[in-house]
Amino acid sequence: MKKITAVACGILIVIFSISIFAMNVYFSRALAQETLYWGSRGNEVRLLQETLKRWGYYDGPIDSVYGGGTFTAVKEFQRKNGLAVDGVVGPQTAKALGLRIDGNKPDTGKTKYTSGNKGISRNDDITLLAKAITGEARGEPYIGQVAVGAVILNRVKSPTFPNTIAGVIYQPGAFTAVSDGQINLAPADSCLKAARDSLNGWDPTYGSLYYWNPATATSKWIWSRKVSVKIGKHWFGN
Amino acid sequence: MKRRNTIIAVLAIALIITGVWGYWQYRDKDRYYTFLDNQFQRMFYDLIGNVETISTDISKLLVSSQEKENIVLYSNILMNAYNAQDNLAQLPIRHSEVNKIEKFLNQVGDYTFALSRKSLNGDQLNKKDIANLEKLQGYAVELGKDLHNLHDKALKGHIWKGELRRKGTKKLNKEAKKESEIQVKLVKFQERMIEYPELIYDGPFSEHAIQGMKPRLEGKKINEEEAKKRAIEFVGKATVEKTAKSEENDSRISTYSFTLKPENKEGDKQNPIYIDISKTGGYPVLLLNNRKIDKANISGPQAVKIASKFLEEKGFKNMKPTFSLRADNVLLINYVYVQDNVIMYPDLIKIKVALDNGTIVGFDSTKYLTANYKRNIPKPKLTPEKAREKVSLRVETVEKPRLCYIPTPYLKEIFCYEFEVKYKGDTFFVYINAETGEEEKILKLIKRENGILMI
Repeated sequence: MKKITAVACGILIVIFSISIFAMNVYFSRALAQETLYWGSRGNEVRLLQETLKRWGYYDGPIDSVYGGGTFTAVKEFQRKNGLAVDGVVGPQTAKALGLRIDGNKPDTGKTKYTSGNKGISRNDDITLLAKAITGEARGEPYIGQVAVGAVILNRVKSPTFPNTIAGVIYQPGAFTAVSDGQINLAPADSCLKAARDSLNGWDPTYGSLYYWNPATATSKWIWSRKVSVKIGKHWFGN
Repeated sequence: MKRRNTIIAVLAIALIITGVWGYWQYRDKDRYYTFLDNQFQRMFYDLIGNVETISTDISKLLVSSQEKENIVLYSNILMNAYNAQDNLAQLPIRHSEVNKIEKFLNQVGDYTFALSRKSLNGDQLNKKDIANLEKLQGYAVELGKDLHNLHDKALKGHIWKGELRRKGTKKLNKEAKKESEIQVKLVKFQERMIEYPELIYDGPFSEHAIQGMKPRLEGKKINEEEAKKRAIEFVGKATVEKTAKSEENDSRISTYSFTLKPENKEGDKQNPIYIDISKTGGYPVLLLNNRKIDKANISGPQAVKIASKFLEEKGFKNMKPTFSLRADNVLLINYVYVQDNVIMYPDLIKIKVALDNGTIVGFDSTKYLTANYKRNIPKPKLTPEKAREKVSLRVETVEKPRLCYIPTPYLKEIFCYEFEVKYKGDTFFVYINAETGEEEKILKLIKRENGILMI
């Protein structure tokens, strides 16, 4: 009796772990695109029927209803084109047919000059910078947070560093907060303000390119930098 | 007995599951490594390609006599240099080992861009340009060769994997001593770059732009006590909590920094005021106060009035507001200096006014103190009418042009006419050189409910 319980236990564990994998797969499938199948109606089905007719797979009426005739024609098409033969128009089949079934209307091709008062702002820059400041200096006094933002912006302007804010922040090994994922924390309120101030030009470091915490700095090289200001726990320099 | 068997069975199953799980994890990790490794390999190959294109294109430049062909080469070099720099910066190599190479690549791009502008103006390359180009070409060839060797010798299989793992471990210090082949090679290349020429030209990465402008500010040196007095005087009533000072430096303003606690001000208890006073002349350079501002009682125009009065009182005369931006119940206003009706855009002071009680919560005069001096304003060679002819006919000009000095990324100031123009509902500022009639700059004005942004 006990043996059976044990085996049952074991089997349960196995089933449990398998079902987790299965659920993963199932849910990722469930998020897949819209498809056309037996019973579908509408403009997209009409397009499908027209295409199939043009290519000689379908000879029924073009009635915008996915019925038996369309089903057979789709299967025929899938067989000939080496697709999974299931009679359902999923992304693969739609692509092979040259159809767009995700409901996106193709561009009409006419673009006009749009007056650009909308849509342009520095909010992306501010958020990214604020996240970097949060990861690197959330325990620092406000002025120290502005200083960290200023160093990042000074690097953007310097030839020895990448030329964009994202390039500087995500440079491999440049910031510990990026390496250990702290950058993905929600930006703190004061850090958002600090990011804005540093983007607006406030630079308490007066052009410094580096900063380090003398208590935790591990790189020998950093000690060869010239210190210009000390703010909070950080030393800033070039 | 039976009981023991059960335990063994359960444990065995658990072990198998752990094993399977472990294997999955291992395979996943391996896949991630390979994926990253492939990315790095791609960047490395691209980098080699870019550097080699740069070296051949520079040599083509040296033999070409056609100006049109030159423009194509210039833009090609520029593109390749920036791409190369981009690729290099994303490889997991310590910054200290490649910073000179990055600078080299940025300067190659920037320098050729400056040359292309020169060539558009119809100027020929002079002897110095040729010599510089030859040197740059030499470095590009060598860098290309080194990268090539590296690829032949070391880049077989997973080399970046080690680099990554090293980044991940805490024994960074110990491990860093063991240098990888890539690092050795790149360091050697950097050491050879000692004789790298100082590039002086009109561009943001040129030598004089990097060194920064020597502040023009004058006056006698003040001591800490004096500076403390000035800081308190500037803020109003306050007590000093902390003092620090920056090291002396030629290319920037040296300051005394104070952390102040304002007296008798509600809401200011939490957040101190940070203020920097310049050692030379004792001017306020920078002020920041991050106090909470919950509501706005003051309108934008009122805030501008307050800021203008504040500047006047503190001895910054002839300042004109040009731009404002509102965020978090704070209005940021830019002021520029006006001399004889000519606007001096390089002489910039920024002020932040809190919209609850109108106190100054931010002040930055770094640009003003660095750039301001009494300029000898020449008579413009172009009349306003002639300058208008240089502005595109597609746009309509709004007002009469104003004379101004505009700053450039390479620290030179240009004497210009400023036209405010409209194009299909958008507003732009077009700057026409008052001496040569060239179009120097176009700014786009973006009006939003919280202020005006210029791009």
